[in-house]
Amino acid sequence: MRPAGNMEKLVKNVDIATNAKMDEAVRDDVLKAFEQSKAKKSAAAQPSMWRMIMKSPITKLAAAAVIIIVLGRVAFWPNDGSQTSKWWLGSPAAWGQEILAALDKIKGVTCREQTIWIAPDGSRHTSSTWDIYYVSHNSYRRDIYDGDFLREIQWYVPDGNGTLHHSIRFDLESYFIHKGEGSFGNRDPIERMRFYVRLLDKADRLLGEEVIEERRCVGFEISASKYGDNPEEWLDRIWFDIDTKLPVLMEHERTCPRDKTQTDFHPYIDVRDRFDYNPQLPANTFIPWIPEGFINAHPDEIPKAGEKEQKG
Amino acid sequence: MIEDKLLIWKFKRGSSDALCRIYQKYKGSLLRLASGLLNDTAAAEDIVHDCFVSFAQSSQRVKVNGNLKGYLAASVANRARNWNRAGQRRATAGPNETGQILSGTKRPEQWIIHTEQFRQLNEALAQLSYEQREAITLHLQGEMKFKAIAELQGVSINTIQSRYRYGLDKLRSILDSEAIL
Repeated sequence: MRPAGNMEKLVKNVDIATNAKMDEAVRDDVLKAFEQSKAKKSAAAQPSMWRMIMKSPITKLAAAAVIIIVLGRVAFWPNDGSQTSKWWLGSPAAWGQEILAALDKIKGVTCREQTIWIAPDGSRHTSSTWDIYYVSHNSYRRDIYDGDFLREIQWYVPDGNGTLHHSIRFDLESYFIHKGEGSFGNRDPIERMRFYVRLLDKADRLLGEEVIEERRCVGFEISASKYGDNPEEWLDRIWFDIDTKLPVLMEHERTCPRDKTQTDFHPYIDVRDRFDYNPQLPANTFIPWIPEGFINAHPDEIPKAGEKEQKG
Repeated sequence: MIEDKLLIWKFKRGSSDALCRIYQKYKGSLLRLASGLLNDTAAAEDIVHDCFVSFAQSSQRVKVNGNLKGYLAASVANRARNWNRAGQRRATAGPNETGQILSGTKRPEQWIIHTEQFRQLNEALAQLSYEQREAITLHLQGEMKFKAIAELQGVSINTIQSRYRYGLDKLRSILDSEAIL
């Protein structure tokens, strides 16, 4: 029989060992809780601005003067201030010019374009091919992807009075160059933006405010019939960043064929998004190049060109 | 004792070093106490973890009147008692209702490394009534006075002393019968 004193000693001093890794992990949890609690406490301890003002007679007087000035200003110009934050509710003639001026300042932009097909049951699926556009003040490049595969690059670069069209096809291992007139035409996203901005006073619908790509935006919808001989059902939508006034999203919804007798038409929406107005583009972005071993041929003539090269 | 007073003073003024020192100083004895009270290693580890986290969060309002070890031991004892009550509810609940009662923190490794002596003592303690176990572990491992334990349990000092004495006798008898320790 053990004496009571031994039993007490045993209970008191029984060996215990701990895992050092877990010791550290728990200690980190404890310290984290401590730091968070301190941060919370210090935030709660911040005196309110109002209390600080009211502590001193001088600051109290200054605050009263500010209130009088603000109230006086509101009384004389009741519409000033609150309306200015919702610029799109004002006259399009004014803010349209502002947007155009903002667009003129753009040195380069990149964006993504893809097509969303609308099935008869209303379900939507996104096409596997999609494009990335790189646009500078006089040059244009379009990278066409098929899923993750870069299938093609097209360049439109100034060449005398016209534009040199240069494309390479990675799937066909070919390249093709020809000269065109004018600039890169209606595929220029910035030109397309300008086009819509000029039309906004004819917009059919204000789409209201929405957060797109984490930016507060305001949207407009316009029927394509407003600017051409197009079906009324064709709708274009453009969303602007409320703060920068630059476009964030453009959609062209085509739910019916131009020719109503056409039976094999598939409704779709072309979407341009992920606009980057300050892209850090490499210096050679707009310089066309030809990968080694690629043959010179129009994509439609690739089999013929391949045969020719073999004969040669 | 003086060191503890200094640690508390620094801790209340935001010293992480003081908190680390308190943790290093008492984690072992609190784990031993929680294991003795619960005979469930995972639950004991969770309780001590939560006890320290809660202590860290309450630096501004913590009031340690007696000794620091006793304060922390009482905190562990309260949590252990709650866990036991929840365990009784778990025992009567359906299989889908037995959710985790304690901290949701998942720890991949075990914190306590068991020695044979530690395991056998805890198994012997588990055979005592919870009140006897609490009286013994809080007094011997938590270094709490009988008076403080009596206040914690809401009974008289005599009752606590009786529980302690009978509990210790029973423990001795259990361990003697095993004759290993």
